[in-house]
Amino acid sequence: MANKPMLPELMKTHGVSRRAFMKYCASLASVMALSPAMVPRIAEALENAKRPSVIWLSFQECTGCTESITRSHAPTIEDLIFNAVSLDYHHTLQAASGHAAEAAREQAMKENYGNYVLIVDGSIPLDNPGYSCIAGISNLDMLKETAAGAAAIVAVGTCAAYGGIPHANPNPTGAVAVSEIIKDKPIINVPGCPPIPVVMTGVLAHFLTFGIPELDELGRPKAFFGESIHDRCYRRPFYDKGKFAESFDDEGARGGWCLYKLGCKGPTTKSACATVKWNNGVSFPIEAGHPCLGCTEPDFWDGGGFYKPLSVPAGDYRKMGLAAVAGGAAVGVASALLSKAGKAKAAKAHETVDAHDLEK
Amino acid sequence: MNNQAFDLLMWARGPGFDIALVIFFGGIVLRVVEIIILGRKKDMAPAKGSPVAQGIKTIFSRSFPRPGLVKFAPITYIGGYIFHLGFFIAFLFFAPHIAIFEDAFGISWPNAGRVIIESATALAVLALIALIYSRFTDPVRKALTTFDDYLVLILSALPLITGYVAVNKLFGDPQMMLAIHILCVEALMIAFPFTKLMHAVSFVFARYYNGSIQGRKGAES
Repeated sequence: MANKPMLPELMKTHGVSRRAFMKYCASLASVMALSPAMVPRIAEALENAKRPSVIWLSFQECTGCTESITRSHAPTIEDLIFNAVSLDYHHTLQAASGHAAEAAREQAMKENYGNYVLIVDGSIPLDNPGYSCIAGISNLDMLKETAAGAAAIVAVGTCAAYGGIPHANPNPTGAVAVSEIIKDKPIINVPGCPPIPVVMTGVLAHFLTFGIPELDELGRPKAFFGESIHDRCYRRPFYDKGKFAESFDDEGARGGWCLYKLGCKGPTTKSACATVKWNNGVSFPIEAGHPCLGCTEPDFWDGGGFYKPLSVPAGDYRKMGLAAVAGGAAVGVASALLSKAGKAKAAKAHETVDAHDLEK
Repeated sequence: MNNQAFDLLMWARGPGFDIALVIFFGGIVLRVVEIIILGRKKDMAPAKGSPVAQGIKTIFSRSFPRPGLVKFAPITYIGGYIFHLGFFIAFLFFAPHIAIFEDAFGISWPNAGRVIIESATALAVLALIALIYSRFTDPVRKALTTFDDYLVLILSALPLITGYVAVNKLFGDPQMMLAIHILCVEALMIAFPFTKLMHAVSFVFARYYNGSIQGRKGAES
């Protein structure tokens, strides 16, 4: 069963037409910025894709990533792609629990050693292994053990990709990203809090068809994280015209103007939110009237405040400024008085010279 | 995972800005207090004209060139005007800059659109290039130019150029370019009180003194 191509069979049982499937392949090609000529190749590769074993490990996370991927509206083909993999271990979704669940993971690892895909969501605490355990196994041990036999690792969500919220200052658990522990396996980072479902399934589809996608310097697939939200934002014309919402309930906010002054991190955030959008392309945060939080970027939680504009200093600089003014004034007075004293001293020490002295 | 661009941006927005702010305000206040306390030597002679009125008038009147001087030194005058106007339009009317004043002092004013900001920036940079060129080619000006002058010209150009690059994403990572832009501004802030950049504050005193000296003698300034 594990090596049989799954997609044609699943399409038949779910009543998905060939036309709908080709449409999906075309949209996937466009989302991944591939040439239209690649569409038949994607279709062929997906149809013939073997059913790979997938182990999904959840560490310090909120289950938002799993919530997101299971919100792909059934029975879409994205859902089928997800079904096309053999999800052998996912402790939130599987029925088994405790040792029975761990046995399923161990069995999947043994049967597909060196070939399974490891998906991780959540960060790994390093300060004390006891901070996060599953069936008595620390996250660190479980990751190391499971990663050893993986063909590739997909770090889903900003926590797994960059440490995310658990890693936020002051990082009480010593949380780190997958890439800081595993150095000898290919890692695809799919950040987001949570990531867009189609991005997750798209990356999975790319992995099934063409292998590991082209990644940027932060380990993200360039196809989905190549452009900033700001550059693709439908509110961009308002930024260019200089029309900004000043509060959440002013004329600008109601008119759909740019949210830069309300703290939008779109200019420094790379994600497909503005193009692919959420909930089957219905909307995305900025369209719903909220500034982008920059959740696909490392340390987005420590970006100086979600509602502070990007240009505004992040620290508590006012006290420093006042202290500088007071200090500058004090040093200025001291320096001027010193100069005056020096001048007076020089005048006092001045010796008069007359013509007789010069003749000496 | 560390993102160097993000870390640099947060340093520039955090500790970097704090350091620059302290040196900027501390330095300006220090020098202004010095100027005021040291003052000028008291002129014991009775005033023939009105030194105070002439002093105040001169603060403004010297913003305009005397007849014939524009023709005499066109690059200095026209280039100087374009640079100053362009720099201040880009600095004071770009919305992200106004947001800083709003955050710091709670005051804001209308912002300009992208066309105005970017035209002003481009013109200011071109004017700066012309001013540097004239310093290189004119033998007198070349002889008078010191390292301080070139430093100030470069420090004034960098925020304009890096800001333009960051906003238009001409090259480089957008976070990195924004970080570099902020760091360039901070370099300008740090150099401000201790270089000729200080003229932006001290011109008031210099012109007032000049005007009042002339006014005391009964001359128009």
